[in-house]
Amino acid sequence: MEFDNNIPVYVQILSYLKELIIKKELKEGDKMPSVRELAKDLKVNPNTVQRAYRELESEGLIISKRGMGSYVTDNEDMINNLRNDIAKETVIAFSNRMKNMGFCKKQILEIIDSYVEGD
Amino acid sequence: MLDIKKLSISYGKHKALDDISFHIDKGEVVGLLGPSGSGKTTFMNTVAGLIPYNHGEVLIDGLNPNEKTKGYVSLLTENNAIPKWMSVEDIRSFYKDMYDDFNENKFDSILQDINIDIPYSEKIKNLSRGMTQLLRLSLSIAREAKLYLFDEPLGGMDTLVREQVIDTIINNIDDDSTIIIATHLIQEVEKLLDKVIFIKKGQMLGIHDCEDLRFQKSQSIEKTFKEVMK
Repeated sequence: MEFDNNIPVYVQILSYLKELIIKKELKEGDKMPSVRELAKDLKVNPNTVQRAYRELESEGLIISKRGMGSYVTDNEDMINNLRNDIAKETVIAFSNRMKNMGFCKKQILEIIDSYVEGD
Repeated sequence: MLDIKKLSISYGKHKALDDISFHIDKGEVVGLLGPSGSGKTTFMNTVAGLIPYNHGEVLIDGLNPNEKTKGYVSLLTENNAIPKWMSVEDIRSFYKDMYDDFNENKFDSILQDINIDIPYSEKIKNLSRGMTQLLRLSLSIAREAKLYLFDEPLGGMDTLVREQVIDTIINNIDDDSTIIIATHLIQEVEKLLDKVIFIKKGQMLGIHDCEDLRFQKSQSIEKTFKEVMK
């Protein structure tokens, strides 16, 4: 993953991991990669990964088991909530940008309707 | 782990370091950032016990720099090359004799990790500049030191070798060792750092947690550095 140096690195790792959980690339109850492994993969300081893990843990999305590493929560409601929260954030950011450019709600919905592919 | 208290070093009227004070905890990776001539190398050499100081105090795990601390402080200097007539094997044995904390297996695995395919019989003089720099870094990281001091570890190398240097440093960050990286190449190293210290003309302009600083300023450490140095 590419990082933007203007934003705290742990915040970017946090969104990246949340996305992996939502996309089920990290499934309920899965063991998380170790802090060290992930730091190596992402080429960042392990302390930064640790910070992202602490945050995920305080949000209840991962659970750390002493001496055994961290696991993704097996609480499906929690993951669904996360999914909805991120959907909401994404839509709000998008609609604010569109409104800034002068589109009204009706137009925004029409645009979505004509460009979003699939069912 | 490292306590610097009112440290000053003068050469005649010139103050190389002027009233520097800060504290670093064990396990932290700290960037000492300043333009050339700001006192970074003087600082590193002082902590390594190579330069005496006139005022203030340097405490490494409670001790002033001395023969004992030299046994667990590993300095990668900016320039001094390893003897060119030596082979990789020679320099490996030389380090083993020289430093009690040198771990040959760690050295071998560092070279494996970065896929350097140099036969140990190869003479240093036949290696490229980047390769020599990587070899020097590997030697200093292969010591099981408590404190690592890397002075301009990215100097004079191309982008690919820089990435290898950074990977090598990341792979070797652990809770027990503290690392100080002195550099003016901030963009390249800023993801590695827990803290930064800004230094200009021998004076310290601040010490910050990197993530907090990015958050407060909504910009990279590099941009903040440029503002601070104006």
